[in-house]
This record gives sequence, C-alpha cells and structure tokens, in this order.
Amino acid sequence: MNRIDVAPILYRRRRRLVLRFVLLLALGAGLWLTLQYLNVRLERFATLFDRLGILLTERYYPPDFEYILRPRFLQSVLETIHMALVATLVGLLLAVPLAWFAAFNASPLPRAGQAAARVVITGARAIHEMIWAIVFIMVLGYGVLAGVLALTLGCIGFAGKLFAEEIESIDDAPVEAMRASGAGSQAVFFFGVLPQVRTAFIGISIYTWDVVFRSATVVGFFGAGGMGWYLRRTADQLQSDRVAAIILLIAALVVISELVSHHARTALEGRSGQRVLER
Amino acid sequence: MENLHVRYPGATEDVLRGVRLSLAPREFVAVIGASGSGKSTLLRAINRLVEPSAGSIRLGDIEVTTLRGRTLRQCRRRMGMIFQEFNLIERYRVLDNVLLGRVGSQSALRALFAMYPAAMIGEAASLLDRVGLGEFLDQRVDALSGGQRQRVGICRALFQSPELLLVDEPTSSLDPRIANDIMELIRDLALESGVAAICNIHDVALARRFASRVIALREGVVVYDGPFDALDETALGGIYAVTDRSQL
Amino acid sequence: MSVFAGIQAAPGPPALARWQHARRRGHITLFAVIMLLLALSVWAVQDSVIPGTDWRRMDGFAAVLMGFGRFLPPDPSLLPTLFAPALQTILIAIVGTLLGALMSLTVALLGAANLRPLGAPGYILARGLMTMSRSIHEIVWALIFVSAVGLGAFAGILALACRSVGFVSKLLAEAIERIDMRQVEALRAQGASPLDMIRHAIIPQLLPIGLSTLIFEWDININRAAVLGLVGAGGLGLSFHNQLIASNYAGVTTVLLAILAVILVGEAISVQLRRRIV
Repeated sequence: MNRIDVAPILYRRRRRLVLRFVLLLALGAGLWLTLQYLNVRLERFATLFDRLGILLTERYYPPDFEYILRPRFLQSVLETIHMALVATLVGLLLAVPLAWFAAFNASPLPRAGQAAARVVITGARAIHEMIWAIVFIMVLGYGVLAGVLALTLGCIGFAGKLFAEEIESIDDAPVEAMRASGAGSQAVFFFGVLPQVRTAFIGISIYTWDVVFRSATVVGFFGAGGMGWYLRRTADQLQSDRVAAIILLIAALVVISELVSHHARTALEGRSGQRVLER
Repeated sequence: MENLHVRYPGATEDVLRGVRLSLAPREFVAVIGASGSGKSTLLRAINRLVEPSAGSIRLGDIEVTTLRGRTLRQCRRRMGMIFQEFNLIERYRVLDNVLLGRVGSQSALRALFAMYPAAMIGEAASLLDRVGLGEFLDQRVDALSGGQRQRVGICRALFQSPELLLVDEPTSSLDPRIANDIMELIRDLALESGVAAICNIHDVALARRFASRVIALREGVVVYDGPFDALDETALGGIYAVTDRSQL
Repeated sequence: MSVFAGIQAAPGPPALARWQHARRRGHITLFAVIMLLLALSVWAVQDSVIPGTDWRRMDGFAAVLMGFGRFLPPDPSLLPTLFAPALQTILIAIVGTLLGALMSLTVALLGAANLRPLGAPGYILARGLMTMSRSIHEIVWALIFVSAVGLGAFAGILALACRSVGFVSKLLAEAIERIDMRQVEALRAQGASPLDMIRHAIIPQLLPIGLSTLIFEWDININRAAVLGLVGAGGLGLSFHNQLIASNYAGVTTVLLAILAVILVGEAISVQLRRRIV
C-alpha cells in the first residue's frame, strides 16, 4: 500500500516547523530586548489592571459633570467646533488644488508643480497636528489661530492625499478626449476630472470633518484654543473627576459627529449610487 | 456501530417532519429528493450542525441530541463529513488539510503548531496516494481542480477513522464526467474501511448505480425507504412531483 | 444646421425643460450650501478666532515672518543625539501595534456579526470598545495610562495599542464577516474545538488582510508615537519637548526633520511590505 516515499515530505515539514519555531523565538527575543531597551518593566503589567481599576473607580469616578456645564467650559466647546469648522473649510479649499497639482494624471505642471504639491501634502501629513500646533504657538503665541492653522495643515495632509488618490484612479478616457479636442488643463480639470470625482470628494470631505473635529478636541492641550486646554489644566492639577468628565464629553461629541456624518455619507450613497469611502 | 435512529419532528420550521431511519454498519444509503426536501438538513442534524428541535439521534448507544461541548466534539469525531463545496482550508497544503481531520484528537499545543506524529503523516500520505493525489501532497489546495479538491475532502473525512460518513451532494459542484469516479471512490473507500455512509444525491441515476438502499424525502417526510429495484417511474414522479421530471 | 435641429427635436420640449429644471435646482442647492458654509465660517471666525487669538503678540506680518525665520537653519550638530530617540519611537510603534493587534483580534472575534461567540452582550461590548478606541485621541489615551503606570515607554505602548484597536478590529471584524464559513463548518463537523476553528479555519483566511492592516497601522503609529513623547512617553516627542523648553528654535527644526525622516522611511517600508503581501 505504501508506494509513496514519505521521508522527503517529513523532512520538508520538519524544516518548515523548525523555521517557524526559530522565527517565533527570534520574535520573542526581539520583543524582550525591545522591552528591556525601552525600560518597560513587565511586572508592572501584572498590576496594570488593578491600577486601572483603582484609577477608574476611585479617581475618575464619579465624573464631575457639573464642571463641564459651566458657561466658560461650554464656551470652549463652541470654540472647538468653530476651530474645526474653519480649519476643515480652509483646509479642503486648499487641498483640492493641491491634489490637482499632485495627481500624476491631471497635474497642470507635471514636474515642479507636482513635486511641490506632494512635498506640501506629505509634510503636512507626516508631522502630527499637535506638533504643528506647538510650532505655531511658538511663533503666533497662545490662542485659537495657532490651533486653526495646525488643524488646517492636518486637514490638507489628510484630505490632500485621499483627493489625489481619487483623481489618480479616474477613467482617463474623457480626459484624453478633452485634451484631444484642445482643452486647456483648467478646462480638463473642471469638466473632465471634477465631475468624475465629485461624489468621492464630498464623501472624503465629510470623513475629513470627523478626523479634524477629533483632533480639535485635544489640539488645545498645549494652548492652541478649544477645550483641550481644560483637559491639560485639570490633568495637571490632578482633578481626575473633571478629567473623566471631559474625556466622556469628548467621546460623546466625537460619536455624535460620526453618527451625523455616517448618515450624511449614507444619504450621499443613496443619491449618487456610488460607494463612498468609510472608515 | 449498531443502529442509528433519526426522528426529527420539526415543530417550528417543519424542514424535517418526523423522519425516522436506521443504518446498519457498512451500509451505503442514498438519500434522494427534490431540492428543499430537507436532505441537507437531515445530514446536518445527524452531526448537529443543525439543531433538531425534537426527536432523538443515536450513534451506537450514545444519544447525540443531548451531548454538549466536549462530548459532542468527541462524538462528531466519529462521523466524517464530505461537503458539496469541499469546504477545504484554501490556504493550506493538501497534506495539512487531510491531517486536520484529526486535529481534534491532538493536544492543544500540537494543534496550535499543526504538529503531527510522523506515523500519522505517513498514514495521511498513503491515503492521499490511494486516491491518486500522491503527487500533490505539498501543493496548496487553491491550486487544485474541483475533482482533486473533492478527493482531498474525502481523504480528510476518512482520515478521522469515522464510523459513519455523511456525504452531502459530493458531485454537484463537479464536472459531470468525473462525478462517477468520485462516487466510485467514496463507495470503495467506505467499503474498504468498513464505514457506513449516508449520501445525499439529487442525481437518481448516479444513486441507482452506487447505493443498495435508497431513502426518498419529500417536504421533510420519508416517502420511500428500501432497495432501488422497487422504485419505479411513478414512485419517482411522486418524489419529484414539484420539479421538472426531465432532469431525471 | 439641420442635423442639430434634428437632435434638439428628438428629446422633445418636456425633456429639455426637465433638464433645465434639474440644472437650476442643482445650482440653487450648490449656492445654498456655499452660503451656509460661508455664514458658518464668518460666525466661527468672529466668535472664536478673532477674540481667541493674541493678535498684539504677533506684532505685524513682518514679525511673524521673522518668527518663522528663527527656525532656520536647522542645527545638524543635534542629529547624533537623535538616533536613540528615533529608535525608541519606532520600537514603541512596533510593540504598541503588536499589542493592539492581539487586543484587536479578540475584539474583532467578539464583534463579528456572523460569529458572536458571546452572543449579543459580547457583540455590543466589542462594538462599544471599537467606537471608544477611535473617538478618544491618542494624547488622551496616553494621559490615562501615564496616570496608571507612570511616565515612560510603557504608557506610550498601551496608549498606541488602545488607539489602534478601533481601526484594526473594525477592519478585522469586516474581514471575518466576509470569510468562507464553510471552512469553519468543516472543522466544526469533525469535532474540532473552538480554538482549533479559530486557528485553522479563521486565521488563515484573515492573514493577508490582517497583516496588511497591521503594517498600515504601524505606519500611522510611528506618527502618533512621535507625539506621545510630549505627554511623557519618551522617543522623539521627548527630544522635541526638550528643544522646545530650551527655546532652541534651530533644534526644534532638526527634531521636526528627524521625525519627518523616520515617518517617510516607515511609510516607504510599509508600502513595500504591503505590496509584497497583496
């Protein structure tokens, strides 16, 4: 019955198994060395849940909801929404032309313009908006403007990349047809490119609002306006019940905003029949 | 294995209404019936992929319907299943798929790393060789043809060393030309290893060729149970009354 | 001319009227949306941006330009001291992503609509955790963990892990909802334990999309790790903080460039790895 030679198969299986074990061991060793290097003491992990439990039940609970209902705090919530609004609008207005320049298939200046637009988008994206906020604070001083500028850059980096990817994935046939009939690059953009990406752009814009608003809730942490500042202050003064209330409020606001934009995206999908980006 | 009783009065959905049948060891039974007559449900009820709402199923002297957790798993290991669409792990190699047939009886650690004793691997290899897949042991399943995949599926089920083989439409997803080969393979292997088999099949001609006994289901009720010879055209017409007779 | 006339006549006047009507309605909607957005931003600028900013400190446009000028040129002598923090940032991102992956797999299994191993309560819990993870900013997560385990990389790792759960587990849950359940059924039919089903039927199907999601998330986590140093989790963020406190503008630029370099390298690696998986 046993006409087949199992030895080479066994050998190959064993080799794969050993390789897998070696890989696993290497991964484990690497992880251990990393934790040593980063000074992470694993014995703290054992007490982590106790500490978290104590933190949540004794210090964060009960949240001081009265604090977040004070007029001055509510004013900062409104300020946060305002910041996100301005930053999203300005950022989107800047991101569209930047994406146009950055997309390889539609760029009116395929060399210098494309490179420059890509540098701006990548730079804005690569540096975290909190760091941008600090840089702007160093130049412009504490206040809303620094936060709005940081959020605008964040918006450009986020939406710019998605817009450019969307332009790059369009159907080139109408664009070529227009080029063939002698249309300039502006005409090509407005009548060849924009109609194809309009729905996707609106979807991305709604999504961008979510991201910017989430950032806006904390961008004030270092003094760039909005409710983030109160988070910093209460955390520094160890007023944990107030910190808890603020965190809960942030989570609630973000969830509400996401629900609204989810509905907006669904409505958009229903009207246009196109799939809209969703995270 | 002694007898298998299935009584399955479906009180809620009435997919199977009071089915009652028993299987002797080494018996090869075909279940026929129009689609929607409850053939698949019947098989799935036997190993409890579908929960029977009432009635009892016995494998040997074990009552299957009341088993839970560990004992249910042990009982399922005694029943091999062959699926219409093979249900193989597409990203695994042929040999690993067959070895998975016994993963349940391995220790948790061995199962985690897919480690099997050398003797077991040899056993799986010769089983695969028996069905003509000796060349393909080390290939991934998603590179195989439909017929080859179903052979892998057959090997996986038999590798469990089951007492009962549940075969659900083994040839419906295959090229009709190889349906015969596959059925032959299942019957021969079942005979060789002394396993009882219960096989859903909608192709009556195929069933007639391979099964000694036939059970006909219609709307969840057994309307015929006996040798094929006693089943004539008019009876078949009754079984497939709703569907087009030309497909017979 | 006669050709055009023929084409115009073909749809007939009612169609043309409908077309004009739709066009007009489109224009009116667009105009309304623009006006609404404009009004909202005027309100926002008037109510928050103008009163909330210290305009006197800026002291004119020239002074602002001067302010930006102070950041140039970068100070290259600082670079050698940045290697260790850069490595720390990358490592924190890796460990945080791995821990996040472990947590995500659990949450995704609980929150996949087609499995629901713990029934509705487990599903709701998992979906809640996903939303919470995403709606709390990484800075806030870091804040929570710094107060739980103290300053250091550990807090950063935990913060990144918790922040990653939302995105990773949502994608994983969607992938689980799309898997081929027949493979799971085959293992169930032959008496495999739930653990074996996860290991041999679910994980092999999730591997490609899971790995590519993880690499993508790692890329984002480098970006986040660089900022967590600001609240005490070490790495390049701490270097940035140090230069900031010393008011060393050239040093700030150097650290910024270092962060940029690390992130760009990470993104390049991430793109390459994901291309090889897919």
